[in-house]
Amino acid sequence: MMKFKEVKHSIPKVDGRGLLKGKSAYTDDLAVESALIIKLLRSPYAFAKIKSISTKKALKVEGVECILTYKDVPRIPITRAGQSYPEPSPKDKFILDNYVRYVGDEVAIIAGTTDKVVDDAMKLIVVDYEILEPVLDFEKAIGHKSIIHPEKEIYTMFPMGLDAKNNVACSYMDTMIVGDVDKQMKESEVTIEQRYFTNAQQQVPLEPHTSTAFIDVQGRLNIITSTQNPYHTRRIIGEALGKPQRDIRIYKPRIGGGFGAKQQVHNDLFTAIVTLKTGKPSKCFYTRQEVQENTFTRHEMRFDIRLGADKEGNLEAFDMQLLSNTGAYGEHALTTFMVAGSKLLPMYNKAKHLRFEGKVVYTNRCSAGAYRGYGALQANFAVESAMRELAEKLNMDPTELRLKNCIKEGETSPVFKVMGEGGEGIAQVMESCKLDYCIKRGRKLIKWDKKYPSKQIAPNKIRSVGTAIAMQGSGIPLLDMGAAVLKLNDGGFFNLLMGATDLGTGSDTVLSQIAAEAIGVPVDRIVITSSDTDTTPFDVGAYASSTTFVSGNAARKAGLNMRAKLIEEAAKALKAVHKDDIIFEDCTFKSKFGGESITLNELSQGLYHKFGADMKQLIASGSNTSPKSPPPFMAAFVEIEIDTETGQIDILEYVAVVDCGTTINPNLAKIQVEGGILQGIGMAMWEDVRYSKDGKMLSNNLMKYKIPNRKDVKKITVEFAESYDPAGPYGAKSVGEIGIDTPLAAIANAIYNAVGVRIRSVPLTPEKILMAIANQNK
Amino acid sequence: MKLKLNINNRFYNTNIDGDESLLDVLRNIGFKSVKKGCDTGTCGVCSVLINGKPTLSCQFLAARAPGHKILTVEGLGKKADKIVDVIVNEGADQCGYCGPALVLTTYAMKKELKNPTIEKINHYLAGNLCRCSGYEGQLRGIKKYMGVK
Amino acid sequence: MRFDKFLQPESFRSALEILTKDSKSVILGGTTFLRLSDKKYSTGIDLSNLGLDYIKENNNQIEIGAYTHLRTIEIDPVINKYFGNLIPKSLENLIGIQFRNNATIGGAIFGRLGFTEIITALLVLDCELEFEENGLVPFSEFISNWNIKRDILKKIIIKKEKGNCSYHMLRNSNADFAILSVAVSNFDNIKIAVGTRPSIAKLSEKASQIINSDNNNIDEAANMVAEEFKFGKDLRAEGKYRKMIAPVLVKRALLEVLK
Repeated sequence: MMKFKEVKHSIPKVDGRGLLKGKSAYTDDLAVESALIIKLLRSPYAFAKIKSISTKKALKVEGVECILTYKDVPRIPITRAGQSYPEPSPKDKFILDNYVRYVGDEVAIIAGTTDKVVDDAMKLIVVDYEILEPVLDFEKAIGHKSIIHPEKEIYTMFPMGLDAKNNVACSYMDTMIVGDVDKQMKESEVTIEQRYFTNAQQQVPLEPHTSTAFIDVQGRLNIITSTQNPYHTRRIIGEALGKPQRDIRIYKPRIGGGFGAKQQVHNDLFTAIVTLKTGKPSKCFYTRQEVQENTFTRHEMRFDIRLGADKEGNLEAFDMQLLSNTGAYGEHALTTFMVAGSKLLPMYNKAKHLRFEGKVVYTNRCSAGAYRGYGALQANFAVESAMRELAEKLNMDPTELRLKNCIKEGETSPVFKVMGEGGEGIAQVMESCKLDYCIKRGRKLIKWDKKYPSKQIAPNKIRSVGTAIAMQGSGIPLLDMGAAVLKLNDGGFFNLLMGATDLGTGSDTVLSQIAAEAIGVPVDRIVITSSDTDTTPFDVGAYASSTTFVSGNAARKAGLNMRAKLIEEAAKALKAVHKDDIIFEDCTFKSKFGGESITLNELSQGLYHKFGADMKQLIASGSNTSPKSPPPFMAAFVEIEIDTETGQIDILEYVAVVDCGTTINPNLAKIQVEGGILQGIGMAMWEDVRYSKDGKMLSNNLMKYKIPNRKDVKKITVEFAESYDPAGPYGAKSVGEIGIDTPLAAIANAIYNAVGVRIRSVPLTPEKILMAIANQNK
Repeated sequence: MKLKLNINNRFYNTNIDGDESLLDVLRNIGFKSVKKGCDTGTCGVCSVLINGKPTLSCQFLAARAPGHKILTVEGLGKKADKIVDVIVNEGADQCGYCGPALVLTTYAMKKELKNPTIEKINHYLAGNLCRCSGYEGQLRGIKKYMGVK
Repeated sequence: MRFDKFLQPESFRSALEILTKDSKSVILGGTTFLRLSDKKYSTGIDLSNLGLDYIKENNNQIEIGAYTHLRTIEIDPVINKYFGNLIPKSLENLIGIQFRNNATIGGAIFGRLGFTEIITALLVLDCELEFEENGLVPFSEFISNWNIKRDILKKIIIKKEKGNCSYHMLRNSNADFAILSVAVSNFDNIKIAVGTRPSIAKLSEKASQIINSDNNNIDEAANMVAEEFKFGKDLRAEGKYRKMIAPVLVKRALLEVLK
């Protein structure tokens, strides 16, 4: 086992105390008092064309500064996805358009001095709509007589099967094929063929999306915003407004959670344009209803899974057909879809005949976008449910079936090469994979051998266990890039400048620990500044489980470079000592032959005050992108108690054993997994995005959309496998998403193990369970 | 209407609309620890202590506040440190948006509940939603603060 | 919710005058659910300074002032001494304590909202309401009689009785509104109330007749509940499911009160 001084240690987050004591730190805390308040007039219809719009009366309200409609804004098709360029999402969105494509689509931007002024003005805008027949059912979208995107300007930056006249945002066919699935399915002794549905889900960061803009003294547009990716935001704002990026600065302060919700650009578009038009500071703080209805949800999906195996349980064929609902606009349509395949097929690499294909369709519903575990989570429900169904047919313990077929250390899968995120992938061998250990260890922790499948504990109560396994990635290979800059200061401490984006996950702390380890100094010598497009280096942002692995390696490289520079300067200062003979320990440089020494503090003083002609600023940088994306793995086990008369479930314990390589900060890694698990349980059990028959979202606040509270789950137990991936910084892989993937299938499997009913759609409500029990008894 | 509010044991003169929430008024005065999260009284991030009781400031009319003692995390000062420490030592502060309200509610809980069980703690804090942590880490810390094993 | 004027009248009389004269005025309770509407009122009438925040125990009855917060009632020793945990259980899952420290019992009752579980619980007690204009009104009459709209609720009076009570509910997640709530009391005879169906709670006639005629008729009475009431759908469940679980919860409650 490797010994570390700074990483693999739990230290408190660098910002934790300040945040808990209520320091002004979030976007709304930082907005100037005089900022104009921006609100949006939104469409009451799921699909309509604006015939006429009049703002005349509204503009007369005292305090109203500006009202913008589609006639007043640039007509440039963009995607708000917040991805690397060229984006793998259709460019199908205008800041405002004369078509509205879901209930809540923006119709007008209103800015005024107070909330009340803007509310009053909003009521006075007169809009005449031509109401069109909406497409609300994603299974009926292809070939529907309503075309959601009839406009000519939309396009994709590379072929992805956009077929707007058939409401297809993208399709992926005839590519991910290995062997001959259809033939093998006929030959396999045991087969499973089932259809599964996953509903949309809301990310629900507790801080609503907030943006504030102002013009600085150089005449540049500054935006402070709750974003996960300041650099993509700068580029997208520039593109949408036809402005050079040079004239835009984006700064992310502390943000109150993201989970994917803040990868996309939402109200920044409105603050930017209002501030540019009026020259005045502006602010847009979304209501919770807007966060629910008008930002993005998880993609709703339908899976057709076919599995074929021999009698011993050796998986032979694995076929996945997918239909995904991207809603009104196509952000993340292709990538979410592809991840559904690329994070599941390789996990069962023993199957030789593989196929993955399907389509992503437009509907007149809230757009879908990024949400932690995207694609992988939906597919996990389908595949891990199907694996339990296969185990049943084989009369085999589900954990044994998984152990037999799951990927192991040193192995690979052809899928890595064929399919990446948005295009072709890159072949890779699992240099670290403790999935088999995770399964065995988890089985012990939950006492599987004693509890599987179930136990009747009262006339109407049954306890049971269920399992599911998962894999994720660590960033997108050779696409995600992060960079770090280290600056030595007078006083012997360092500024660490990171483009990376801390969403509250603790990445600022983790990256500081990595940089400190690399330089060889205690972490309190590091002061981090992150996520400012003017002062910090490039980073794609916080998504796709990338920050610790991708940006972490950048911090490590910058640290190593800084260490080399320090030693070189110390050698000069200590005269006659060759740099290879310098030992740097306890913030002091000395020769390995003994003699004089110089402290880091003294060296910094010398460099900035005393060394005469040798005075200089020490700056080191590091950039990182990786040809590998080593997957973290997890085995999950759940114990539930089910009331057979009401269908109600109690979650007694959720056990997870995770292989994420080295945990840079074990406490923070643990919380990532625990938090992910609870979000997954939320989707499995309670969280339900619901619409009226006219397409209006009904679950549009936190009274109607229930995220878990602290009484909803009795216990979550997380353990880490001892693991080290040579590609990661000090052996680390990612940990941000892996926790969320398993609960849907694990709980559905536990329900099956308890009462023998199979629920193939989420949420797993007591109603569905009781109805299924009743049908079974018929 | 003009009001005199007792916030953190100091008096503040303010001019407000009768229908304004205490949340908006507190933020306007400068108490930014009090957050806005859900608009329906469901998430708990706007919690303050009114006469020692955890109360949603988004629902409480500022016009009703005179005569009551309002406490925010800013006013808790050093008394918050022990609670803050047990939470950050678990890494359970995460995005921090629910943090100040959680610290305040925990402070009130310690005064109200003697030797609570884990169930009682979770019941008391159930109105403080957190989307990041999964609650386990917060509970590990708060158990220590409450002296519960 | 928005209003132009905030008034704190000095007496119930003057509050009632404002309320009856100005149809756009509104009594402010805890402003928990009221504030969720986007209605614009002329005047918000605040009675929080009129001494309505109390729980008093007399020889025969318990009186609860209309401005008493739900959380105060939930943990009050007097309330907890009588009726088992009927009342606390009907309150303790409403959002969180910060919410219940705002919400008032008067507001909870006067709103007559379907999801209000305390209404289910109070229905099985001998309970009266005191209004400024209408005087004393039996609780069950107020719940089913919508004529009382512009009046001031001052207190809730609950008669102390000896016997068992039971409260059962079912909800998806802990802080969600209930899918169904059931309250049963067994004083002189058995009363059964079924609420959040999702419409407002009601007392059973037929099922309670069956169980009161013979205490062994538990299954028959429980099954009658499914026939006797109408069960509707909302975001939380279909009517069909509510109908299936109503007898289950009623049976569990009956078994408890008949112990």
